Amino acid sequence: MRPDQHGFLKASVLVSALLLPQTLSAAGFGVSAQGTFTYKGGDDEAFDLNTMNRGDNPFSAFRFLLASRAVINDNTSLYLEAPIDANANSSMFLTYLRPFARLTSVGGASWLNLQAGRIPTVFGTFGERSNSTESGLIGTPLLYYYHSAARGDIVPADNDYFFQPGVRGGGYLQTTYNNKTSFVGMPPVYDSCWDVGAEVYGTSSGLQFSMAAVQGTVSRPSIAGKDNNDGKGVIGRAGYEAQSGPLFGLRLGVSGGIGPYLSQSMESDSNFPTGKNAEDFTNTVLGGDLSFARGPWQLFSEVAQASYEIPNVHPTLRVTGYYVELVRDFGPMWSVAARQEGLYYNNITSSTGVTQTWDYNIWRWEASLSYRFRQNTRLRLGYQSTQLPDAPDLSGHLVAMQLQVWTR
Amino acid sequence: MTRITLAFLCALIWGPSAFAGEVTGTIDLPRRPAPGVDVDLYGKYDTPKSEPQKESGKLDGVVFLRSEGKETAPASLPVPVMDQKNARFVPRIVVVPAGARVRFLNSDPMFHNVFSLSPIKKFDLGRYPRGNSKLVTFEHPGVVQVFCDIHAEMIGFVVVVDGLHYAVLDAEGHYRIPDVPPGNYDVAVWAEGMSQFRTVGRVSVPANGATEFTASLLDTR
Repeated sequence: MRPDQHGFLKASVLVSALLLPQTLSAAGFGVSAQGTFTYKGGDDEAFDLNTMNRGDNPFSAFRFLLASRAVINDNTSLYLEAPIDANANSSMFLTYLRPFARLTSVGGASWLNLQAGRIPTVFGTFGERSNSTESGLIGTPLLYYYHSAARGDIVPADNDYFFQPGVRGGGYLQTTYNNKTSFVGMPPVYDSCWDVGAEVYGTSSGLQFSMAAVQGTVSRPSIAGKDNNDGKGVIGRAGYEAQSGPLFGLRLGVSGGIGPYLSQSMESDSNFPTGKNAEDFTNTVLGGDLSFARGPWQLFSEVAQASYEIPNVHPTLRVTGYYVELVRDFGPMWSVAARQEGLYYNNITSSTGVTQTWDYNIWRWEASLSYRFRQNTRLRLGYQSTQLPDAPDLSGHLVAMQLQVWTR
Repeated sequence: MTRITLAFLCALIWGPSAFAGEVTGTIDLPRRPAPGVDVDLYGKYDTPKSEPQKESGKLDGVVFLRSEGKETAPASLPVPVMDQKNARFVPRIVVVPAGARVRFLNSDPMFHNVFSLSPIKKFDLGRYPRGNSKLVTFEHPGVVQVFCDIHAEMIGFVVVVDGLHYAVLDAEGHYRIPDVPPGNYDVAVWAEGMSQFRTVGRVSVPANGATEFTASLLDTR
């Protein structure tokens, strides 16, 4: 996930040059915007645990999401999304622009569509409602962002790396190991980092499918505009959404992704195993999603397991996570939501025979009470409690009041 | 006596239309601005919106007649349906007299959640399956904006009028209000963007035949 500004700038110039004439001659052009303004209190550690790659955070004082769509013809649109965050590193703004093209009904087949560019993750279903107006809560599920101690730009000498102070629980911090500086650890799924690639998707009679080839992987999207190794990641989801009958409102699916995640430059690391190359080490993620809605109730749940093949580390590192979210509306103005979630890491053993999880297990619950003034204005009061039983000093609580405003 | 009895029988047989005129004409409204483009970034599986919002013509509007005296509503009024189809409200405007009901039908293979925050009628119908509908009674006159909680681009209007004779303007502002009992009426208008009804004139409706009434809101909105 280390940004390659140079590569991205070149890609941006190229994409802009290609898209600008199309955009100017578009049959229609639309923009949308949303903003959140948050006043928070509680523990700094709890706030930090919500931090994402470039410093952005759902509890930041202000966030804006600007989006545009240029309609080229009935079947082709160009999209651009620009996330802005008070806590984000502004020098990385360009790196996080999200341009992509969407072609619908390819070849006249209404069930066949295509997206290409920097695309939202195909894995699971949270990405479809990750922007603040769609989600019932302020925070993002741990499964979709929480940075683990596993990194794609460090080659540990052995398991002992994960027994060093500050490695476990420090996945969201920059770290140095063997004179290598690493930025952020890998989450199971990374919603806020859109990967560069192409996706084929569609739906027919309630069946949904999506398959994408991307430069990175589910846990380590390649946002830099330039691939980080010679391999490609493959991500897919197959699902079903009931169209009628008593099951109407039920949606379920399975997702999977596999690909090499390690930076090519790690092949020259002194710890890199001889006879191997970066593409030999893969990141695999498998998961399932289930949601149901009826009347004033909505239930969302997902479970996933991510695996990381780390050079010189045995066994394969795994993290298993889940979340369950319930939303209840009370009339047109009030709603309450609650989410319970956790991430659990497998054990590894050090050279001295000590066995422990390779990162701190973490669980969280979050609740919110929302009041909608207008169709596009909402005030939300949220509470979040994050617990790391093996690292009480990292545990903490957050309370927040958030005003959300968005265009239709 | 015979003549009176005959007239009474005729009135029973042919009903109110036996002594009713109609009001026709045009309400000149500003032209509708170019429709916006939905930035449906995340709704990749949503049903394509194959019925786009009206792209040309004048603003959507309603014209209705206010009687000098109190009008008595028929015992049973037909219940108009506002459908949710291809992620649109169809029709986009429904007019009912105060006290009447509207049926909100879901014809899409996906959830909608109709709600309103309008001061005269706040409601939230929740999510219900395709083919199901829910009834809402609108007690007070005024304009009720309805939205879908899931598809933010969906917008519709229930115009609740304090009269029994009304029509939705067509794309060029033309209208026809049939079966109007003879008498004097104020003509009131509402168009999209107006916060309340506006009385634009007065008509005298004869027992038979059409009365034409035309007004312009081009400069007065």
